[in-house]
Amino acid sequence: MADRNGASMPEAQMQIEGIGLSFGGVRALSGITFNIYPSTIQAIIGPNGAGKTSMLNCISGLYKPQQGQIRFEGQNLIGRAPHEIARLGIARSFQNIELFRHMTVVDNLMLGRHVHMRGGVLTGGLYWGPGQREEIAHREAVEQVIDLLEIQSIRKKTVGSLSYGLQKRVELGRALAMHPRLLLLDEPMAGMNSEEKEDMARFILDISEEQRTTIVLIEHDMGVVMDISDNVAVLEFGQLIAYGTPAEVKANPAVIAAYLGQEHS
Amino acid sequence: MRKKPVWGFSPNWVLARKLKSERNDLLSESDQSVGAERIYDAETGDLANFKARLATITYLLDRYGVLLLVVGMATVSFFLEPEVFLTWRNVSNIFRQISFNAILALGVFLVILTAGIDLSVGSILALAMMTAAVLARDGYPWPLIILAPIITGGLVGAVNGLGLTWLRLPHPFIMTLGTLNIARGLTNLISGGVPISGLPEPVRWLGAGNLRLANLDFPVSFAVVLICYILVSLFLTYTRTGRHIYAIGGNPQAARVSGINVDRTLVFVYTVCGMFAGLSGLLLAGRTNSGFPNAGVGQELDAISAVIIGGASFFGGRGTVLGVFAGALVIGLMRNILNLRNVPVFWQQVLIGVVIIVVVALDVLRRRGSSTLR
Ligand SMILES: Nc1ncnc2c1ncn2[C@@H]1O[C@H](COP(=O)(O)OP(=O)(O)OP(=O)(O)O)[C@@H](O)[C@H]1O
Ligand SMILES: [Mg+2]
Repeated sequence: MADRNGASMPEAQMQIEGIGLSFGGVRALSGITFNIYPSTIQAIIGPNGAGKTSMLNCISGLYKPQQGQIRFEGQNLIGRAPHEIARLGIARSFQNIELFRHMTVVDNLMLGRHVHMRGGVLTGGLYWGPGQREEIAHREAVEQVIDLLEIQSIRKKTVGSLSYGLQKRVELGRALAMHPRLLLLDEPMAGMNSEEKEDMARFILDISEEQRTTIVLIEHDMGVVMDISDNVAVLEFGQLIAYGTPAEVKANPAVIAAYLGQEHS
Repeated sequence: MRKKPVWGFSPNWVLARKLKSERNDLLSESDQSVGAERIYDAETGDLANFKARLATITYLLDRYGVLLLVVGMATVSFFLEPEVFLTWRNVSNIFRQISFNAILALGVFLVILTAGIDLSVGSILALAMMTAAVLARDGYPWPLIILAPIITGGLVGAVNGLGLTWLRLPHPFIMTLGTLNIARGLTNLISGGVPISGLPEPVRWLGAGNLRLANLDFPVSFAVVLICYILVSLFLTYTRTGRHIYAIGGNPQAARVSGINVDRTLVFVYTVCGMFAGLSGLLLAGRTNSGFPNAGVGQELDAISAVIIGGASFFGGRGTVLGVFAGALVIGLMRNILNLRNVPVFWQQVLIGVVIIVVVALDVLRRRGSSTLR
């Protein structure tokens, strides 16, 4: 087991081995193998349609790959339902924002806390009596996330009424409220102006540094990727064509040919 | 083995956050200036004022619009039939009449909250009613006759839920269309297609009896309605599963990755909906002292109407128990006044259709208005 003041070889938090996924005849992923290390920012880059979102969907259980294995902290993820994977400590955001639009920001974040609440259908879920102390603790956790993401002023607003940039931020908050050990972010800065991107990058760095949360980040903005990530995995046509530090990847001819050479809007 | 993230916040870090939040205030201001606000900046102050007032009105309509409709209809009814309408006899009659639709609607409401639909409740009602009648005919004890319809309803509901989640049928419309036919067929099978009359006293009391409250006869069936509505309201607000029902209807994908067991919750919701339909069948059996095979034909549509008139979104995630109650009252009041005025039943149907369309159209217009104004 890797420890920050212990062994020299870091042990992978997640092992992805030989993942293959196809839709009918379309091969979305083939033979993807790489490790994700604890408390790092792991970028996944690649041209449009390369299979980046499909990879995240395999991890979070929304897609079931036909080949391969994914292990998280020693536990097999393949075949588990998305809610089980969420309860193991994996949270995510989506490329197209997925939020509870009719609810307030606070209520959206509170739903993220439900993974840590005790009890199932009709048992122990009551907010009164003994449940009240637990409820207060969860409210505090939500307020911490609200402070972290600087969304105090919109906490009582209905999510559907917020601007795109703020919705992206709230979605990050919903995932963060789960206190995940692995956070999957699918293009969290897409469609943002440079100032909003800067804010988002700062939040991601803060989460990584303060909470030691491992972050998997899909992003098209190469500047951001090179600045904040520890490791980069490069996908093209469903294959992993490069893996390494930002500097290594930047110098890789295959990557330059496949990705860095072409312009992305 | 597992590495715990450090979710404590160091004091100087909190301080740093406080400083940053100043910038956040600027951000929220600039956020508002995008879109509608900017247009109004260029206009006169009056328009901005008008916008604020409009926002308040929309908010009030959103919360209390249906109740307003109820009060409005009651007022009109009163002026049309001043002698009869407000007599306790007529009011308690309305309560008794809406009871079984109100309970049906309550179950359907839960299903619609999850962005689903249940077409089978009318048939479940008949099956439950007939189950009670058959058991009564065969001389079973009354506690069983009270429990059996509710359990029967729950079973059919569970089948709906399991079909939806296990078989992955593309839409609940299909699964419940299937059980609509199955339950109706079973009703005819167990009864031989003929009505069966005679239910034990406690069942008749539930459906047709009265509680004596301050010299007034209060229908037992309506007391059952009130209890069910209060329980469901508490359940939706104060339990985890209750919140999950709203979440699933709001966004199933987000619900899944937030750790919500969507399938299990759906099975639960359809089961509860079936149980309410069963309870409704029990009340109707008690009221008519019989079971008849074509009871509740088309009743699912009245239940859905009550939910929609009550302001719940057909696309899930939005709606209140109070709204559904008001929706059921609106339909009941309309039926009542049209009956008092001797309007033929066919016209009642036309009018209910008009009300559904008008109410939802107003809702759509209002939402369109509020989303452009933000
Ligand atoms: N549910 C699906 N059904 C069918 N094909 C799919 C599905 N999801 C993804 N694909 C296909 O898999 C391939 C990879 O898609 P994916 O969304 O993973 O790409 P991506 O790298 O995230 O692209 P982008 O940068 O545009 O988001 C594409 O060819 C896509 O059409
Ligand atoms: Mg994608």
